Amino acid sequence: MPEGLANRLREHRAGRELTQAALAEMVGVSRKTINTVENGVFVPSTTLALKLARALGCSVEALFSLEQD
Amino acid sequence: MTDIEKAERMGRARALIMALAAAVLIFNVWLQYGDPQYASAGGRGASWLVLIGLWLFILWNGGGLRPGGRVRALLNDELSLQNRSRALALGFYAAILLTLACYVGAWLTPIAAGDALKIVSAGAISAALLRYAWLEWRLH
Repeated sequence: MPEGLANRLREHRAGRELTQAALAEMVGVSRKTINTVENGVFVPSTTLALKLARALGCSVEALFSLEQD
Repeated sequence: MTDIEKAERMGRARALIMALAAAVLIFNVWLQYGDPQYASAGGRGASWLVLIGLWLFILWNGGGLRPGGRVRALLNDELSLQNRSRALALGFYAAILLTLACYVGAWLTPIAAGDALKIVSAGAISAALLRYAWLEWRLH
């Protein structure tokens, strides 16, 4: 993961009882993209971050934050 | 089968095909090295152009020409585009390094221009294909 970026995608997804595949379907990306975002391997674009936030009904800041925050 | 599952299956197949294509390209260079017939004007010489052109095109657009819009979009989503960019960057570095290797190698033993160009083009395309295949495969 790039230095200093934390994400809570897994918690929010699990909280809504969605599988990675279901969330992927909702935002129009592959399951591996969701998996790599959750694991911090891939940093999504602003567009994808906004789509994820909308799909999960939360703000982008709730999903992604700087680690020192 | 959902579009997501289809895209996953095709993504795995694409990675495997790209790795195999890289091996075939390298094998071709080894097989044809030093034989001027394979670099001369004519069918054999032109087949190299077609082979390199084909894989360059596939690398450029990510393959997946057949499936419909949604599956194709899933196949070439953000992560795949990033992987492709990383693969193409490696291909570029491979091309430069192989060019230097041919340049230095020619000090020691003569290398025909056709052979040198095949080494550079096949090496660059193979490096990009292998990198892309690896980046995609490890995520499945």
